[in-house]
Formats: sequence, structure tokens, C-alpha cells
Amino acid sequence: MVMPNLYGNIVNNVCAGLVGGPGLVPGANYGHDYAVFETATRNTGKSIANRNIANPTAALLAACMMLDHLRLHSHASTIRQAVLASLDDPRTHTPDIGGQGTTSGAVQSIISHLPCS
Amino acid sequence: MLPGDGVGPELMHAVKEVFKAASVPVVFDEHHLSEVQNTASEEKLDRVVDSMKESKVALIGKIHTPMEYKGDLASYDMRLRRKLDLFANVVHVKSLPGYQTRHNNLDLVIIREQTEGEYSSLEHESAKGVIECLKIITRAKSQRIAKFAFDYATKKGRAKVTAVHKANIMKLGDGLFLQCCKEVAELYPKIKFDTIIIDNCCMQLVQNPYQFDVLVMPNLYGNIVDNLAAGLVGGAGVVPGESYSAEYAVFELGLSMASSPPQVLLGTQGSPLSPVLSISEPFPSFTTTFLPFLPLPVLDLQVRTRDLGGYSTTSDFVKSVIDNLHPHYGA
Repeated sequence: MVMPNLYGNIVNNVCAGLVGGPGLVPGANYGHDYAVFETATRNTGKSIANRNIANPTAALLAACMMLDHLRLHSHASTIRQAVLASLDDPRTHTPDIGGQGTTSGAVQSIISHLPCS
Repeated sequence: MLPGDGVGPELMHAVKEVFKAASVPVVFDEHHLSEVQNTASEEKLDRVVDSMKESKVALIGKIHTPMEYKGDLASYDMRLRRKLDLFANVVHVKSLPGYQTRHNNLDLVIIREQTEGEYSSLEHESAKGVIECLKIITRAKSQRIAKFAFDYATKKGRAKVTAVHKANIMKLGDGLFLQCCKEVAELYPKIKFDTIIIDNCCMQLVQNPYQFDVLVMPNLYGNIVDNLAAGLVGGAGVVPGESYSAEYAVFELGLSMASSPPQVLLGTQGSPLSPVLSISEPFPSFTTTFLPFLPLPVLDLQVRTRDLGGYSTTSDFVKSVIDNLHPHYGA
């Protein structure tokens, strides 16, 4: 879907809401010279900051998009797969997706899904 | 009564049929306004306004706004609303009993300022290939819609009003709107007031719509939120709408300002629920006798129209509503 600025802001949020919220969806920004990766809905998350409950999924998937952009495809795939595999375990889910897990717990779980180096 | 285009005439016919069956003492003065059927003129608009001066109340199908620019930036529908100064659009989004959706038991009211904002029809090409489109926000109209929202909430016993805006980006425009809402809120201490940015509001509506009660917002956000919320309970066919000025009340489809999908414009499968539900508003005695019968046809899968997943035609549905009326309207 392609659209002007405001509609994009709105549709991003509606669609992120449809798939589980701001903690899950990554976003990318492209210009002629630069590329910037971030969470799709750009929430500051003031109310959940510094409580170790933020969902790292969106940020990690955005980082994977950055790795793909940098042509580090195998690293991107590896991490992405680890993130998705970790999501299969509801015990690692942070509160925004209905769980009681922590940010650090989710990250540890993702790391444990990485192939041993 | 302004049937309009597309499914409008059939839906108005449905209302007339049901009213006749229920012996409702209302006579409709019909006017055929349409931008697409070339029955759009200043005289016709004036005639409608004259008629409204007597009746004060109207029921509208859908006056379609075509995409092509034929010289007038303001659509016919928009011009009518401005002539009648229908500044407040109210869409009461309520889950229909018997029709399951992703979120059930919803009861939200969306109040939209309908005469300014992004629909001010002020556009120009300031430089070649550069269009400036002016969004107008005024203190007067913002205060007016905010007051309407709080009065509505008070009258209907609602607990909270949430102002929807994007004042972080449109600091002066939406900033003014927000400021006016805050000022008006102080005059209604019994009603809770909070604010939310339009993007987050849309996400929340999809994830957890229950946190909202009455929402008030400028024109474009209202258009979008109306559609989003209507989608939550079953779509364009089941949500009625009301528009108010200081003197007039207009009852219509909840999504009348939105562009209809082609199948709604062309098809004969439109649900007549929406205008039927909206007309119950101004006739309190009619509402108490009529509304209890409405859920029954909706519950029955065999009478649901296409938009609700059934195979019924508009006329089948109307017949079912009438059948449900008659046992209680006996001899």
C-alpha cells in the first residue's frame, strides 16, 4: 500500500494493531543517500521505560532489516529466525503481547536460539 | 428525504416500507439530489433548505461524491452540509446483539466536526507541481464541537470524552482544537476528559476499543475513525449516523462521508439496517416499540444480507423486520 504522509501514519498504526501492537512491527526509512531503521509505530513508550518490560521484537527485526540493507543476509536471517522461534514460547512474551516476561528474559531466549558460535 | 445515489434509494424504500407497516405517522418530502446523476444545482440545494426550514429533520441515503474535479472543490454533499451548518456528526457505534465480530459489546460514540478542517475545499497550485491544501481550524468551531460533545455526553449519561488530535505535528491547527477541548472540558467537571493522538487512537481501536467512550475530533480523523469503528461492528451497512446544526437534525448512514466501495454503490445487497436504526433516534416511542424487534432478523442467518455474511436480499430483510413487527401491531 502506498500513500501520503498522514494516511501512512494512521494505516501503520491500524495494521500494527491488527498483528499484535507496537512491540512487534519493524519499520524502515529510505532516502537517496541514507537508510534509517526503527520500530514501525515510533512509540516513545514513556510509561513502560526503564521497567525491563519493553518488547525487543520490533527493534530486533528492524536491526535485521538493517543487516539485510548492509548485505549481511546470513546474519539477518539467523537473528530473525531466532527472534521468531523465541516468540513461539509464551513464557518469554512481554506484557504488551499478553505475557509476563521481561525484556532481558526475551533477549536471553533469543540468544539461546542462535546457533552456537 | 434525500435518497441520493447507489443503494440510497433502496434503503430509503426499505425505511418507508417498515414505517408503513408500523403505521408511523411521518410523511416524507422527497428531493432527488445527486452530483453523479446531474441533478445537482444551487436551486435544488435551496429548495432542500427551504423544505428543511419547515420540517427541521431529514433522512438521507447517500449523495455520492465523484473523484473527478469538475471545477468546484467543494462536493455537493459538502455544500449541503455547509448550507445547513450541520457542524456535528455523531456516529454511535454499537455492537449488534447476535452478530459476532472481533470485539463484541462495543458502545462508542464518535463526534466529528463536519464543516471545516481538512474538508475546507481550499486548494491551489502555488507553484507548478506543488499543491497547497489548507486545513482550517477555528476557535469558534472547535469550541462549538467540543461543547456539543460534552453536552451529548451529559445528556446521554456517558462518562468520558476523549479528544483525538495530532497536535504534536500540527501544533497550531490541532493545537488550537485541543486547547478548545481542554477549555470546554473544565466546564463539565462530572465528565472525564482525556486526549489521544490519532495514530495511537487507531491502533487502540483495533486492539482494545473498550477503553473509549465518547470521542471528539476534527473532520478527517472523524471520517477515518468512523469507518474504523464501523468496521469493528459489521461495516457500513449496520452503523447509523446523525448530523446536527443548531436548528436541524439529519439522519443518515454512519459512513455517508466516506467513499463507498463499488459493490455498495451498484449492488442490491445493501443492508437496510443503518437508516432504519438511525431513524429510531428522533421518535422515542417508536424506538421502544421498534428496536426490540430488530435483533431478531439479524440473529437469523437466513435473513442476513451479504455484508453480514448472509445471502438475503434487501427486500427479504425488510419483510423479516415487518413480520417481526406485526404480531405486536395486531388488529
